[in-house]
Amino acid sequence: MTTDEPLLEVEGLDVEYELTNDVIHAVSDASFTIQENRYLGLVGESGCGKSTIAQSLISALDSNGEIASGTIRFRGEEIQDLTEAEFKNEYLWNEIAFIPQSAMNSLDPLMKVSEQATKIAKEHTDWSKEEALDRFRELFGVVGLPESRIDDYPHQFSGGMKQRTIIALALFLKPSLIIADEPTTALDVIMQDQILNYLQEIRRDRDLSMLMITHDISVVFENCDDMAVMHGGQVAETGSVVDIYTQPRHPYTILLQRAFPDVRFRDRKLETIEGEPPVLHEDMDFCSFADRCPWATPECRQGSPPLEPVPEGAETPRGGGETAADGTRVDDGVVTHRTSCIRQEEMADLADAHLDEIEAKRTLTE
Amino acid sequence: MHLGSTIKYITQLLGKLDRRSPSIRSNEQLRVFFSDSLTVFGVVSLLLLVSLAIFGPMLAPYSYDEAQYQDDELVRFQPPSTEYLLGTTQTGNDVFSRLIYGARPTAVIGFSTAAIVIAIALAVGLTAGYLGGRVDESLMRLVDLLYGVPLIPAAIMFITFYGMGFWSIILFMGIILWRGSSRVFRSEVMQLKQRPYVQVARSFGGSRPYIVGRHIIPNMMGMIVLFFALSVGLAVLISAGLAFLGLMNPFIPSWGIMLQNAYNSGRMLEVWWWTFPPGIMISWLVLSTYLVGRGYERIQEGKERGVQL
Amino acid sequence: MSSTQPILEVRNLEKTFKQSTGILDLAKERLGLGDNPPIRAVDGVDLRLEQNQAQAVIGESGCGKTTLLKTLMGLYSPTGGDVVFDGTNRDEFSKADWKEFRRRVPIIFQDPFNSINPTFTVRDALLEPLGIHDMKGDDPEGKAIDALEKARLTPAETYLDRRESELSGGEKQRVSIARALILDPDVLLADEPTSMIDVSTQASLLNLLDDLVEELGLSMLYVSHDLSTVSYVCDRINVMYLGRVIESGTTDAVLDNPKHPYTQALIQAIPVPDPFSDREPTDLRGTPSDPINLPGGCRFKDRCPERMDVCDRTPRSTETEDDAEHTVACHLYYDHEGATGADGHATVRAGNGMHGGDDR
Repeated sequence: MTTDEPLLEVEGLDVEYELTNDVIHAVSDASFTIQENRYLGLVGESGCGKSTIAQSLISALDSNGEIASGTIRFRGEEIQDLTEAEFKNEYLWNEIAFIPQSAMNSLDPLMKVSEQATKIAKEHTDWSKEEALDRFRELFGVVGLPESRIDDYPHQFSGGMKQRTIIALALFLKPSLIIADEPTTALDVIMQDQILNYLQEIRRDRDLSMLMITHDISVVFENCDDMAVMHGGQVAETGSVVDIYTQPRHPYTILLQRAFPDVRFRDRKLETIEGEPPVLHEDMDFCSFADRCPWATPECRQGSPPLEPVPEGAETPRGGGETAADGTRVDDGVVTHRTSCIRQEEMADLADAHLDEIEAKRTLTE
Repeated sequence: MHLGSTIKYITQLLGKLDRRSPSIRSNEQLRVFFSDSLTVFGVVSLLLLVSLAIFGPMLAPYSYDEAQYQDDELVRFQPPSTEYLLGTTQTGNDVFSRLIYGARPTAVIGFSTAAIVIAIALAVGLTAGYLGGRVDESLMRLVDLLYGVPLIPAAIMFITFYGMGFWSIILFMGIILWRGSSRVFRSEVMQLKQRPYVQVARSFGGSRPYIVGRHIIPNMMGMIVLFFALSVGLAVLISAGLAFLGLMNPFIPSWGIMLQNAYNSGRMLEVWWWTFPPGIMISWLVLSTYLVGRGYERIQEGKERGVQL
Repeated sequence: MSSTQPILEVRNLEKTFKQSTGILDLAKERLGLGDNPPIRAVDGVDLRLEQNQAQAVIGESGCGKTTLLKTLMGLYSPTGGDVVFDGTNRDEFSKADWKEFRRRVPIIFQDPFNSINPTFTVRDALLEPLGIHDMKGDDPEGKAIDALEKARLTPAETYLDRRESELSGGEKQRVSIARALILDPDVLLADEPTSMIDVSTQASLLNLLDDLVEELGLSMLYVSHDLSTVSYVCDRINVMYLGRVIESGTTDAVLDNPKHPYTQALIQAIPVPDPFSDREPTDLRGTPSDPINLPGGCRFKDRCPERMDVCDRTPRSTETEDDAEHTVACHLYYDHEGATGADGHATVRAGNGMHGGDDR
């Protein structure tokens, strides 16, 4: 069952990058939580700050990046000020595992895969070499790779197999949290499906929490329990996947959902969002979506929008939360639905009106 | 501040060198380029040395081959004094003047050889990289062959047949030293050839000379300038060595020849005011070309990493 | 079948690559030693692109779709088969014909970030094709503005002096589109034009492409790995696997009623943006075989859940029962021609001159 204390809690995070003449405010006042045994999808487009957050979580920001303020708490302990070395020592692999974006390149080409595993084991555990290899072999089986191949070099594996090797390494020391940064972006859709499925099965079997960072909202809707939507360095909306799917309250979430193609409804016209993701040169003390938002008001530009809880509507079909083994979703109301849109109360009606307008236009032109 | 305005001036100057280079883009790149003090030092040094080569002889107190007399006596092997800032040579020449005058032939050697090197290396690199296949293979075998040629023995053989000279040595060096730059140019060409904008131009039916001239070379300008600078340094270094060995025309007062003269006097260590300055000048020139190259590498690295958001 | 001539037709197209052209390998070949099996990147592809029609070529990486595109473009020469453009076989092209072809069949690539020469302005990029074809005329800039407007980059004048670094990804793709349109083409070849564009701007690009086909009467060959976006632009889908087209039909037919096991798996694997969906994950395992050492017969047989013995023979394309326009290359659909059973001893012979039916 779930405890009250979140496994990972990010609060008011600000991350900046220093360029020669410029400061990029990559993340502004971001907050979200990951509970024990839950799967959070952090979704947003290029430049929204999601990869930066991933790097901040494991103290692996580039040298010109810095956490300007805010906290990151893992099991209640603050970890945002740890150096990369400190984080590696205390948390990496054994508590928090990281599957990077170009997982293809994060395996050491000069070491056999088994050697990389034993190296990690040596650094963090007191297992004997045999023990480590045994456990790793087991994991190879779990991810569907032939156990005989643990002594191969990375170049002997195909792309999908490398990805699964990284997953095996990530699971190796039984961490409580796995962070996957766009784990399937470079893969074909069939391989992507396989990998995401493995991740889901493994997660359920081992009661892990997982954070997946992606730009693909369908993947989040299908696999995750909770989600956080980001735009321009700010968290637009966060909550359980079902809450956000059924009752989106931030204009960006509403429009983004409609911008994604859905193979089942091919006739539905895709929504376009005006403008481009913002460049973030300035202090983001206004809503980063305001310039692109069809419902923006002058207030939206006056002050950084806070994340406020969304009140439960009478029509909220409470079916959110975890997915049981048979596929039905079980509500346990764990994660609060919050959004940073100051017009959230009107948003439901505004969005419906918008949708009706589009429908009307479409029927006119047909 | 002087340095600041100098930098601005240099930025504009270099910006004009590549007329097609987009102004905003080159500003950003040049800003990064000059953000490192060592790179600035390199560029400023190069410019100073080039100015010395051009204007030096007008400013030198004496002529480089003017024998200096005092009280009807040849002033030989004199340590530095107020009239002769770096002392005098064996034949009574003012070292300081010779040093200043020496900049010009040294610079001429450096830049001319570099010009030949780049011309050949670019031609070969473009042909091999763009055409590929058998042409590429044959040209690269040629480069391999050239790498096998040992420089000094070949130089000795060369002057045996063609006599000691100035321009002949420059030509000789050019014909051999291009081997170093050609491979790099070739691989850059091969990369550029794969860029979508090149493929689009080809798909429209752009002819080869058009593509090479309009798409490939302009996007290599940075690399060409860089290797030019490096070749200058290399040529100066090698020519100094050749001069020291007596393979260059002794009547042309390059710094390498100065070194040779100092050595030939038999009192090389004693006459430090004559021996060290040319060596220091050569080192300074080669160092500044290296620093310019290093600065270029920094912006290349910067481009690839970018900022992850 | 339509009575008008297709604008672009591809018949049994083959493009094979030799593995290495080194001197040593050449020597080995000459001496009859050495086994250098070629890579059959495109292995017998048929396509008919009609006027004013948009067709998709779908496949995962390594299926040969990019090679197909580059061969169609003329960057590669086919090693077999024919390409017929507007009635004329490309083998019979004169130099002038090639120039015409290049004007009328431009290409758009997927990577917006290298699609324009960094030393060029937008104006330079747009005028380039005009220059190459000597079509600048009296008012080249007017033509450039016109093209930008067609690509919906307005106000067009403000874009002319911009450089690549001042444009967003979506804008760069539109410039590429404008550049392709400026010569008044007939067929647009598009290589994954939206795969590197953010979703929020993708929709407007897809709408633009769709409108261009309708308003300008263009034809389009749209190559992609993403089935979910093609339905917004394309009327027909061709699915490629390891060098062959294994299924072809209207968009609705293929997406609603996929016949080939691979197509079925592909569609099955597409994630659905709905937490309540009951989509089953794919059963398909493994990856496409190495294109270098392909076994004979159907190339999907090593992964196919419906594999039969007869699949060691290359299947040919057949029409499906309910829809003549929907073809599939799979032994499962030969039933009506008599005799394939689980024992697979029946022989399936192609008697009408189409490829397939023999062991390769």
